[in-house]
Amino acid sequence: MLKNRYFRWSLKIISAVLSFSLIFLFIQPFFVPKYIGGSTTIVSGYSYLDKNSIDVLFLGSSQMFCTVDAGMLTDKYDISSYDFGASGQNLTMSEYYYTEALKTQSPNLVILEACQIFLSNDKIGDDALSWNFDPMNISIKEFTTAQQVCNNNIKAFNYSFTPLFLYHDRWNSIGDKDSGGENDIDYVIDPKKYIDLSSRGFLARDHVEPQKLAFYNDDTSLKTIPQESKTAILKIAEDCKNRNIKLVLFKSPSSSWTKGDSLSVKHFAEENSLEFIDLNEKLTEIGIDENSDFYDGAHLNTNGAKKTTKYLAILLQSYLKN
Amino acid sequence: MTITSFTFLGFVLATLIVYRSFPVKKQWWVLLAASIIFYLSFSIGGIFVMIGTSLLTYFSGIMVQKQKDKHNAWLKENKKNADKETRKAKKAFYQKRQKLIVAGTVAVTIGILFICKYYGVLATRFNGLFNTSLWTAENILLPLGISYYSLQLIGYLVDVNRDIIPAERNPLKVILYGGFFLSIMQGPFNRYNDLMPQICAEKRQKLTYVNFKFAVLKITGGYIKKLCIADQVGIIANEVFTNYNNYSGLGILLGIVCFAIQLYADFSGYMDIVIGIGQLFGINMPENFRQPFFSRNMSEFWKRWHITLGFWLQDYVFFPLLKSSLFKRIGKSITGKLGKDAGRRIPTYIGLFILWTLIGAWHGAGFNYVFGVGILQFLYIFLGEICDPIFEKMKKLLHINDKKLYWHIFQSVRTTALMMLAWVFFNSKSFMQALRMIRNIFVVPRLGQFFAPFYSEAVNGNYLRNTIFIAVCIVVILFADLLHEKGKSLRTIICDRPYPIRLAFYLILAFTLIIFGAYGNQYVASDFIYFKF
Repeated sequence: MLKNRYFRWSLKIISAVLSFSLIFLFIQPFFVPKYIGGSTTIVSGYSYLDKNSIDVLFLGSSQMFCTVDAGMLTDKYDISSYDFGASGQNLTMSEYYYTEALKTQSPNLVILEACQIFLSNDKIGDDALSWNFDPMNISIKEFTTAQQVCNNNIKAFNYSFTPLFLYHDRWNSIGDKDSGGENDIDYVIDPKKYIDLSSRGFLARDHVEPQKLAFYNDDTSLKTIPQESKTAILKIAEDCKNRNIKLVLFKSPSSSWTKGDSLSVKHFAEENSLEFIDLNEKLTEIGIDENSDFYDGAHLNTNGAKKTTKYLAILLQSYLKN
Repeated sequence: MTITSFTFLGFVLATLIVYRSFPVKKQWWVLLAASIIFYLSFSIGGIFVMIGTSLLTYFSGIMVQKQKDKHNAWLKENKKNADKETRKAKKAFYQKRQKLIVAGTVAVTIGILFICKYYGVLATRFNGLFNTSLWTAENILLPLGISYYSLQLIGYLVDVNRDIIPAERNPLKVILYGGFFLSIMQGPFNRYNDLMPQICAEKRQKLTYVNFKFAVLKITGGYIKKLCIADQVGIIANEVFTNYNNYSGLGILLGIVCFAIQLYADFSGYMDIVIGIGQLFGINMPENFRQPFFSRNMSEFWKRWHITLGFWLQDYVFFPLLKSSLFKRIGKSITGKLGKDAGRRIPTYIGLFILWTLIGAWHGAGFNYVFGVGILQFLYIFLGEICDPIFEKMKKLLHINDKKLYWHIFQSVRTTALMMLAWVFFNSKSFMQALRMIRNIFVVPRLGQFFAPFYSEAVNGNYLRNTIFIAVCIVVILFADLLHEKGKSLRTIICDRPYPIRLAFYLILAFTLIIFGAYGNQYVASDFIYFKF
């Protein structure tokens, strides 16, 4: 009798927990904002790649995926690559992306964009958290990274496992063109429809905004690299060494980057025997035109990206040969 | 520690576990400790005022009881010797002393309440008007729940004086009565003889699964009312009341309707939460609402809205006032001049006017409170009674059957509309703002300006979805109230169903809270509206 009662109770509790979890997991994706043509599709696209199919993995923030046309590298130069990043990504998050990326791919070369190297975890806003964590699959690593970046366990838990609690209030805007998304419901049902796999994470933008080029800024004062950025880079470097992957730090052309910034990264790279390429020093060789190649102060447009990718292709080929 | 926080839920759970693991006789100690911790989480200074007022009431109660005991002892000793006149004189002597103690304590309690809650506002206004420099009590703190525990403690003392209850011998129990954490913030107004025998009971019903289920459903319902209805609809109400100059016509009307929904869902939601939590502790607290929007007239409305405040003022202000020698003299004088009916009615109206002015003033020192939930309510009731014969004649003329549903609906809509007008004063920052808002209702805007401003600026999202949401809120509230009005309890209906249906209902409740609840980054955690009173 008692056994029977306990059995009934257990059954009730299990069915309640199960039903709740299933409904929760089913509706949750509809509420998470989708940045179609931005971070969401770039991150999701990575999961559609064939296993171990890329040679070069690009990591970093929007400056990386607006600079490197991985589709062009793959198609035109036969360098199979992918821009695996998200807007506002700092180095702690890049290290997490690196870990996730290597679960399905085994690249020979990892190129890490250094523009956010001075951005400490406590300066990361909710938008960047959203862009970086929302599109990723649930994992413990995601939670521990979110913990480091948010310094708030509940928030980190929500970003990693239960984003419904963060975005529940989207019930009255879901499906509208909010936060850069287009049609969230359709995206959840058929995400592949929204992903341009041929671009391989590259974000092409034609808008032109003339800039004063980098290094016209004569500021040579050195900047401090936050400890978390150093730790993240050294962790990636250590893992790359173990896996026999070459790691290169690089910096995309941008007008806000100073000589001091460049020197600071150079010193750090030298101290840790890392390779660093600052493309702002190669603007003439690349052929960057300050009037036609920029989308805004930080990002290149399609023109600028094409020129830079062409330059990078030669460089990458030499790395891959070695 | 707001009631909508996880900290509060954790606090309740921890208290419940400790409470239930204590012997029944000692359980009130747990509630006392919990109440003090709860109070301290809001204000450290305020607790001294609360405890001080409670102790004052306790000692006054003991002193009143002593006078009674002395009187009784005298009566026992002199039962045979004393003549009627001497007995009368002795009774008057002791009663006078009792009255003095009660009056002194009430004066001090009301004095503290006045200084903490009203003096600063009034002095600032006085300084502004007459260019004086009166002390404005800037450093005086407003202790949590002072409007509630002050009245409760006065009620206790009056009950001791009236021989309804004996004076409490344990001061800690009076402190617990004053500072009981479930009613300190916004009521309900508990009577000592209802609450304390339950708290200090020697036997208590075990927390069975059925009781637990009922209590949790009540609490969840309360949270849904607060987080999913009041706080969501409140976004629109707050926007319209804050920027009323941007709105006109239907915009203002919709803001007022939203505020009515917000106020009811907010206040009754809070009551459901605390009553439900009380049930977990084996304590039944009085209901404060009884489907107010189904009231046929204003008098009925106030018997269904904030019931415990109405009854408190009726028992401790209105009836004593009517029974006072002054009112009896007024009644006699009017009877002599204007007849028996006037002699009965006019003192009652004067009493009602005082009662309603006090209710208005209890809400705050602003004239908008005194008028909106005070004088205006009196006028509604007064005019309703005066015009009753005219209404009766009109009903006969128009062949209206007042037992028909359509007439009930008409009366309820009329009563609700009148209350909404009063709430414009209640929720405005000043009396003048309320008048301007009412004026703006009659300003007809260009088509398309009715709703657009608050949908585009104050409220995110889709027009249609927000409108549907407000409509659903109204339907849900009316449906639940309709069931209660018919004597059916939604909780009983649900709990009697087979498990799969119950589970489906629980899941609907849970996901309603998760999705429509106003919590998280996008929302500013809002206090309950009555918390400020």
